[in-house]
This record gives sequence, structure tokens and C-alpha cells, in this order.
Amino acid sequence: MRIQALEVEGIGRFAGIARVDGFGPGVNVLAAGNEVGKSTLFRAVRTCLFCRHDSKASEIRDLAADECQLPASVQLTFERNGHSYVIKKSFVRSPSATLTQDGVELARGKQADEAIWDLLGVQPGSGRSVEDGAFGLLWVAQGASFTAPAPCAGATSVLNAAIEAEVGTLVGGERARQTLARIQAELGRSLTETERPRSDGPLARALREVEHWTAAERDAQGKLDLLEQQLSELRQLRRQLAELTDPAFTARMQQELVEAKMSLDDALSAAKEIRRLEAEESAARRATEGAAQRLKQHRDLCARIDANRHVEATLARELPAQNAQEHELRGALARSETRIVKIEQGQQGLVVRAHALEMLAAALLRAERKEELARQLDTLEQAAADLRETDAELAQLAVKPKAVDALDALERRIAALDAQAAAAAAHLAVEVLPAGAGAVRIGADRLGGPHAAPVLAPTEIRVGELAIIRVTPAAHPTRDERQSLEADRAALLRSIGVASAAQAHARLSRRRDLEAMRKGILAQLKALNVDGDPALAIDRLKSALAEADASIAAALATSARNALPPRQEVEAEKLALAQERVSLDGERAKHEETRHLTRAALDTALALRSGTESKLDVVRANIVADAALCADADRGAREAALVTDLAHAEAAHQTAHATLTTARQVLPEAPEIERRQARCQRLEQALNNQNNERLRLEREVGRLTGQIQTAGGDGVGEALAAAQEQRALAERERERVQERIATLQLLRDTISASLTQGRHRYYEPVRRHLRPFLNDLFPGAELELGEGFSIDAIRRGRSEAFRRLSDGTQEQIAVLVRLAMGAMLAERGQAVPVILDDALVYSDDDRIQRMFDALSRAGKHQQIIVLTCRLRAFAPLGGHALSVRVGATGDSSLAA
Amino acid sequence: MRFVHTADWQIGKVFKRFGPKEETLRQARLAAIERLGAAALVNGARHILVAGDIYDCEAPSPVTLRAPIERMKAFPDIHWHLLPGNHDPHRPQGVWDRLRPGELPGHIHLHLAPVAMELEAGAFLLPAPLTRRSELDDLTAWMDTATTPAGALRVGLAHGSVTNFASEGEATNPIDPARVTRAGLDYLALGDWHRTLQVATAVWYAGTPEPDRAGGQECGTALLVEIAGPGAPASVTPLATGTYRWITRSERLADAGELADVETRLRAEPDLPRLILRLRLEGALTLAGHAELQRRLVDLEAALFHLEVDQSGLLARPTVADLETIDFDGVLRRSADLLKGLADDTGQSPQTRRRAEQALVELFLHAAPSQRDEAA
Repeated sequence: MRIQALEVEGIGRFAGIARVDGFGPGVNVLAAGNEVGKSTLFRAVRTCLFCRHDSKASEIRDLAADECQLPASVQLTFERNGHSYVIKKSFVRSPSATLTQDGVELARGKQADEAIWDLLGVQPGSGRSVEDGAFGLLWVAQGASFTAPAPCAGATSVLNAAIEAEVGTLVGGERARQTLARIQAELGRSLTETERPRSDGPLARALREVEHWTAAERDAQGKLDLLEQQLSELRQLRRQLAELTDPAFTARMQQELVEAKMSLDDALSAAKEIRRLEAEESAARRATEGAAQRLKQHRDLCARIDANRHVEATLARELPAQNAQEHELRGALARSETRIVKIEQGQQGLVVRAHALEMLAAALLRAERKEELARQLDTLEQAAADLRETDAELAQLAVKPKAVDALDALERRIAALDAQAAAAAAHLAVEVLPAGAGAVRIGADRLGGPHAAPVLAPTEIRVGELAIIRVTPAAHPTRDERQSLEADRAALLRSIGVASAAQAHARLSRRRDLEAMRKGILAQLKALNVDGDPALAIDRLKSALAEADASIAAALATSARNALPPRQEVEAEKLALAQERVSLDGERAKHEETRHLTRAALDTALALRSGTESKLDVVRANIVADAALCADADRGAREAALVTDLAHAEAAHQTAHATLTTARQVLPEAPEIERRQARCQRLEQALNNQNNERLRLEREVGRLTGQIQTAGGDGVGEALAAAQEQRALAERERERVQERIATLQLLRDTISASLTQGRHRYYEPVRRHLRPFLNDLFPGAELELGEGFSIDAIRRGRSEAFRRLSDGTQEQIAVLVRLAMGAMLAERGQAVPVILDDALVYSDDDRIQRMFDALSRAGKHQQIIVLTCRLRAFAPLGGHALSVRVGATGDSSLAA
Repeated sequence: MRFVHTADWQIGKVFKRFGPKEETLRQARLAAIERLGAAALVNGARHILVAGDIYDCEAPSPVTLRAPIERMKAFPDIHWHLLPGNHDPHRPQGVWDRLRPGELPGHIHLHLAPVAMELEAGAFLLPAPLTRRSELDDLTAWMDTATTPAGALRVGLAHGSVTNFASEGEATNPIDPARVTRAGLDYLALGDWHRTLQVATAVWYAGTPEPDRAGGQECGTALLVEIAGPGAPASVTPLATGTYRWITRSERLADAGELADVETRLRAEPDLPRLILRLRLEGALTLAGHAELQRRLVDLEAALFHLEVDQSGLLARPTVADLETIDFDGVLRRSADLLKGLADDTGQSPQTRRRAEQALVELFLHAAPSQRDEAA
């Protein structure tokens, strides 16, 4: 088939007639910009060939031009097997169809629809659609060039027919595919695409069942083990309880306890008797010790009376000598004190004299200081007076520098204005001739010589009585400003109290002099340590002078003098006075030492005498007290009675001790008693323990019994048996499913391997046709084709998955495969134009040139129609340039 | 003296592999009790001695526990003597204590201790209950010294394995076969062996009244025992008590033509709806034979209560005709050849070869047009 011409009307943007001219064999290029209608024309061709003329399908309605009242018509002229055919169809409105061959109408209407299908070898589909076969494969719509060709059933049949014509039928391939599909479907119920158990499939269910029942068995086994353990424990507890509650054993233990208690009672009675005998022996011993003590006290009393009487006699002899020594020491002490009093009086006289001398010395110093103070006072008083005068004059001078500066500024401005006015004013020049001397006056001034001045104000010139000339200058533009400035100057002069600026400057100069003078006075005062009001400092100096005078007067009064002596005289008197004081101090120290020693000796004598008297009093009192206890006359009788008492007590003690010794030898000892006590406690404790243990065991038995009854009620044994069998069943089912899956996988893999092996041989014609095209772009490369002519990979030294290639490369390979399929069909006499609508958009410059080579190669055997909006990029493709002409006469070209 | 000897009821046994039919089998075991009671009444026996394993486990559910009691209550004129066995030994707070003996009707007797009991005038029962699953000592030894009035008829009741006897019981629990002589017993009623069997003179295993496993007793049985008097020989008559038959058959196949004969033989078994068949197939079949076998097995399974087939010993031997049925040439034929090569390769593991055979059978079922149509 080779398209020769295309004419449309009422299609898309072509409301009128549009015709595509320039079709030829080989490569045809329709290069036009966007929205020209290339794709619309492409769709019109498809619709014309494959749609029934009376179809109301939406795609046909969409194809019709908007608001066009004409039918949507397409007329396609093509050549096939040496004949020229024209198929013309009108859609939507007044639908019609005609097919002519070499100008002779072959069919009309529905017959025309189907006749064209017969002619092209495509099959009607279900309903009113058509299977467009190889056309669908080789006519690549806009955007579809990126996907690998996926032939529909019709196209596959066409391709298979072409292949089988060359290599024969792939025997059983279809059955194998169907078998594989069934196997895969069954596997798909159990496994995911990645061969993992499908969650809702039989394998996953079997695995879950195994897991579930294994857990259930473990749980039930755990409960049963626990029950078993509880039963064993219960049996053990019951045996212990039976042993514990054996009556013979209990009776034997109680009898042992009774016997142990009796034995202990005997031992405790014996211990009590021993304690009584020990108390008696202890009492006898204490009686003996008391008798001996009383005898000893009696003898000690007699000895103490005798000793005190000897001490009394000795002290009475020593007392008179001690009294005499005391009297002598008191006399010596009185003498020392009298001498010391006299020395103290002399010392006091020296102090009075020294004081007077000190006052005289101070007065001398003050007298010397007084002159200096008087000079300071004079200076200070002069400075204070100067300061007062300066401050008074400054107070009178109210002119401030700022005001003078403002005044100067006004003066300068007025002068400037006057200068401007003078420059602009008329110049008055008067020369008085000798005849007119004195007769000419300007204002009040009589001119004596020549006069020249600008006329700034109305000026009257009197020439004697001859004439009065009045000159009135024109008003100057600055006159108002000057008047205002003069008013300001007058106000300012009034405010600072001067009449003129010169006076203001003079006052300001005087003020600055006074301020400098004042600073000098303040510096002088600061030099005199006056930092403030000088009146206060003056008062302080006057007060100091008065104090000096008072001090001198007091010193003269104290020393009884009329005038101050020379400083040398005062110093000589001071030296003499010091020597006299040293002498008196030495004498006084000597007498004070004597007095101290005498007083110490007196204290010693007093203490000795007092102690002797005290001891004598005590000894005498003791003698009286002891004699009261035992008179000398009773000494002998009392001694004899006490000796007898002691002998009796010693005898009683010996008797008690012997009795105790005898009892201790006969009765049990303490360790034996402790042993019997321990035995009783042990037996009592054992009985208590037995009772407690019985109660505990009974509680434990009750607890276990309850737990066992509960577990028994749950039917754990039956549950375990069920879980075990369920688990075994689940495991068998899992193994069955796994084996079934493994068998199906083996079968699937075996069939797939066989199919792949057959397919390789089967696809050889496609690869043979593809090889030259592929070599144009990828020299030495081979494509790996999969099921249904799919492109699996490209082998360029190594295999690269098709889907991992770049978009541009994928598109180029997909176009090449289509070209190869087209070439294969063309070789079989089933040439179908290859139409590429806006393809190869991602190809770089080098690749697109190679693609052009491939298209040109394909164009040798079949028609290639390329629709593109990339005019410049596709210019090198060459081929026939197609043009679209719009209008009934075809005189308007849209694209070429 | 006339009584019924039975054992190994194993009430509560689970049959999960039977799926929805499990409950039917469980109910059948309870129905066997009713048949025992009816048989006793019909034959004039006032006592039924149950020689252990009344329950299948020590901790049955409350319903399972009470179910046999309720059945026995329906026969108040029969004295039921229940003995703990190795599946239901008597332990404190165990299965028998849960029954609360005081609340049981008077005609149901629990023999939980080795104490003689007078069944009727001059006839004494000497029970040997198990108190644990496994006893190393012979618990019937006490019967040697058990005192009964002179001239009394003595019947022993025990559960265990007779010494030097190839028992199929799960517990050791040895029993001296000479106990009858030593203890002066007129009859020793035994349980544990699930098949009816006479071990020695007056020493019998009653077998289970309702079979529960393949390879054991095919039909449920109990024994009607009649003893004229002390020292007289015991007359033992088997009583059919079971509902379901459990049989095991093995068939060796060498040709698909034998399949029809095998099916005929199996279908000749009586009462197919109550037959539980375990069928073991061995030999080798062609792929077509395998396909036919599967069809026949489906039919047979529909006819039986339950069919369990073990085909692990049955090989697939594809013939040329089988392979040509798959295809004369092409992809599927090539696949079949590959699988056959794998199955015939002795260097492969048995599992791989077996799997290849299965895959071949599967391929045959998928690819052979007639098989596919059949399947459809």
C-alpha cells in the first residue's frame, strides 16, 4: 500500500477543503508548526480506513470541525498491487462511503467499509469496530513512539504469518502459552510475583494454620504439664499431710514433752534450794564482816583521841612567839608608808612646775605663729574685697557675646544692604564754586568744597536763596528688609542696654577683662587654701589669732610672769626639773620595795598564827567529840564485848558455808538445767511446727485442688489431643501445598525454557530484518525479543534491560523494531506505510542523523510518512516534502 | 454368672483429619455404649466390666466427661464397672474425682482401689486400677492374696500389657499371664489391646467397641462371658458393637487395566458409607493410567465414609503414547521429554525425580485434550 493523496473537509481545524499533496514512494515528510493539523490528518486517514462511515463513535464526532454544517469528509487515494484506489467517506452528517479502483467504483456504503478492510487484510472486530492489524502496529500516533511495539491479536497474526512463511510454525507454542497461563494462574493463587506466599493463598493459609496449631499445641501442652505438675505436687502434699497427722507420732512427741517438763521441774526446785542456802551463807558472811568492822572502829577511835591530845599540846606551845613576830612587822610597815607619802608630795610639786613650763613653751610657739596668721588675714581680706568689686562690676555688664555676635551680624547685613543701595542709587556730585562758597547746603550741612555721595534718601540741596533742589531716590527693593533689620538692631541694642554696636563691643571687652581678673583672684584664694566663701576663711583666721592671744595670756598667768621668757630659759628649767624628778622616783621605788617585803612577811606571820589557832580549835573539838563516843573509862569493857561478837559471827558463817557446799555437790548443775529447758522448748516448738505445717499443707492441698478442678474443667487433655492432631494435619497440608507448588514451578520452568528455546528460532526473521536498522544506530548490537514480540533487552557486549535504557534510546529502538516489522511485511508483499507522528523528539544530533539513515533504508521498500513540527531538525531527512493546501482551489498553502 | 467384657472406649478421642465428619465418629463411640447396654440386656447379663481407658485423656471437657455417664444411666438395670486405665489413671483430683462418685447412680461403679467387690452372690470382682500412666509393677499381683469366701467365683479386671506378649498398647503396665492360675481367677478381663484377643485360657482382651485407627480392629467388638460356676471354664462370645469399619488395603499396580479390578474389589466391601479405607498404592502407572486412577479415586471417595490414599509408592512411567498425547512435537512435547529425562536420571535425588514425575502427570492432565475436557 502506498498513499498518494489525502483530502479532507470539515475535519478538525479544516472547516473547508484541505489537501495533502506531494506523496511519493519512500520517505515523505510533512513538516509544519504546532496546531497546523498534522495529527488531525493522521487520525482522518485511520478513521477513513478503519471506521464505518455511519459510526456515531465519539472519536468521529470529535474529529469533525466545530460548528461546521458540512459533513466530515475524508478522501484517501492509495496504490496497492499496481492499482489505484480511492476511498471516500463522509461522517456525522449525510454519511456515505465509496471505494473506487482505477476510477471504477467497487463498492458503496457498508460494502465500501468492508471492501476496504478486505483489500487491506484487516478483520472486522466485535460489534462495529475493526482490528487494524499491521496498521495499528506501524502507524505510531503522537507520543506513542516511546513505547515498544505491542502488537494486538490481529497484528500478531500478521507478523506470525510472515514469520511462519519463512521458518514454519512454532509447534505447540500457543498451547504451551495456554498451559503456562493455567499453571501460572494456579501458582498465582499461592504465590506473589516475587514467588512469596500470597497472603490470601493456600500456602500462606497452610503456613498460618501450622503456626496457629503449633502455638495452640504448645499452649495446651503447657497447661497439661502444669496440671501434671499440680497433680504430682498434690500427691506429694497429701503424703506429707498423712505423715504429719500420724497419731502415734504425735502422741510420742507429746509424751516426750511431758517427761522433759517433769525433769526440768526437778532441776528448777534444786536450783531454788541452792539459791536459798546461798542467801543464808551470804548473810552469815556479812554478819562476820560487820562484827570485825565494829571492833576495828572502836580501836581506831581510841587511837585518834590519843593523837589529838598530843597535837593540842604542841600547838599551844607555838602560839605566843607567832604573836610577837606579827607586832614587829606591823611597826616596820607603818614607817615605810610615811616616807612614801612625803616623796609623793614632792613629785606633785614637780608636776605643777612642769605644766607651767609646757604652757610657756606652747605660748612661745603660738606667738611665733600669730604673725604669720596676721599676714594671711591681710592678704585674704584684700582678695575678698577685690572679688566683691569685680563681681559687682560684672553684674552691671549685661552684654553677652552671643548678643554682640547677633548685633554684628545685623550690622554686616545692613552694611551689605547699604552697599547694594549705594551701588544702585544715583550719585550726587556737587562742586561749589568759589562764588557759591557757603551758599550751598545739603540738608543742614553747608558745603565748603566738592561733595560726592550716592543719594540714598530724599536729599534737599539749598543753593542759597537761589534754589532748593530735592533729590528723591527711587525706592530700593531692599528697603523694607533694611528697615526690618534696623528695627531688629534697635531692639537688640535696647535689650543689652547700649546705644551702639561700638558701645556693646567696649562693654563686652570690659566684661572679658573682669572675668580674667576674677579667675586670678580665685586662683590666689585657692593658693591660700580657700575654696569657697573667703569670709569664712577670714573668720577662721581671726578666731585663730584670738586663741593664740588667750593661750599666751594663760601661760603668763600660770607661770606668774609678765612677759614670755626666752626659749633657752624655758628649756633649762625643763632639764633641771627632769633631774629632780628622777631622783624622787628612785627614792620612792626603794621605799615601796621595803614596804612590799614587810607586808609579805606580815601576811605570812598572820597566816601562821591564824592556822595555829584554827588547828587548835579543831583538835580540841575532835577530842571532845571522840570522848563523847567512848569515854576513857569504858575503853576496856567495850573492847572485850566486840571481840566476843566477832567470834560468834565467824562460827555461824562457817556453818552456812558448809551446808551450801554440801547442797551444791548433791543437786544438778546449771548446764543440765539449761539442757532440760532447751529440750522442752524444742519439743514444744516441734509440736507447734507440726501443727503449722499441717495447716499449711491443708491450705496448699485446697489451693491445688481448686486449680486442678479448674484445669480439668477446661478439658486441657482433650484440647491438647485436638491441637496435636490439628497441627499434624496442618503440617501435612503445608507439605502437600508446598509439594504441589514445587511441582507446578518445575512444570512452569520446564515449559518456559522450552518455549524460550523455540521462540529464539522463531524470531530469527524479525531479527534478520532488524539487524541492518539496528546496525545504523548501534553497530554490532542484537535485540533480545520476548513473549509477544516484546523487547526484553539489547545486547551490546553485555545484555542491558530495555526498560533501563534512556527514553531517547528506548524510542529509537522501538521505531527501529517497527521499521523492521514493516520491512518484513513488505518483503512478504504486505507493504504498509509506516507513519511516525512527532517521533524522535529526544534524539541527539548524531542519533537523529543515524535514524534518518535508517528511515531512508526503510523507505527503499515501503512508504514512510513522517509528521513533525521540527522543521529545521528534520530538513536533513530528505524525501518527499508534503504540503497541505486549504481551499477549494487549493491555492493556499499551510505547510510545505 | 454372665457378664459383658469391654474396654478401651476412649471417649473424647479427636478425629480432626476427618474434618466435618469428626463429630460423627465421636458420637459413634458414645453410641457403642448404648449398643453394649442393649446387648447385655438381650443376653441376660447384669454386669458390664469395662477394663480401662473409658476416657481418651485425663483431662476431658465437662461434656465429654459426663457423656458416657448419661448413656449408662439409660440402662439402670445394668451394673457398669469402670476401671481406670493408662489413658485415664486414677489420681487425686483426676478425671475420676471430677465425676464425684457419691453423685453417680448406684448401678455405675468406679473401681478406684484394689478392693474386691461382690458382683452377685458368690461372685467377686477383683479390680486392679492404674494410678498413673505407666506402672513398672504388676498391679494384678494383689489378686493372689485377695480373700474371698471359699468357693467364690473370682473375676479379675485389669488394664495393661501381658508380659512377653507383643502388645500394641502404649503403656508398659505389665500383667503376668499366669495371674489367672496364681490368683485362682475364673476369668481375667483385660483392656489396652484394641483388638479382641484371647491371650491364655480365661484371659481375654475385649478389644474396642468402636474402632479408632487403621491397622487395628476392623469392627467394634465386646465379649459376652458366661461362667457356670467357680472353676468352670468361661464361655466367651464376641458381640458386634461397632458402627464404622476401619480397613487398610494395599494394591500393587502395573497396568491401567488393573484399575477396574481394584475398584471392584474395594467396592465389594460391605456397607461402604460406613467404611474408612486406608489405601496404599504401589507399582507404576502410565500417565494415562494416573489420570484414570485420579478419576476412579474421586468416585471411590464419594462412595466411602472416608478414603485415605497413599500414593508415595506409585510411580509414573510415561509411555510413547502418553508423550504423543501431550504432543507429537513442539514446546509441550519438548517439556515432557525434559521432565521424563529428569525423572529417569538416577543422578538426581529421589525427591527431584518424584517431583518430575508429578510434573509430568500434571502436564499430561493439562495438555492432553481428552484429559482437559474431562477436567472441564
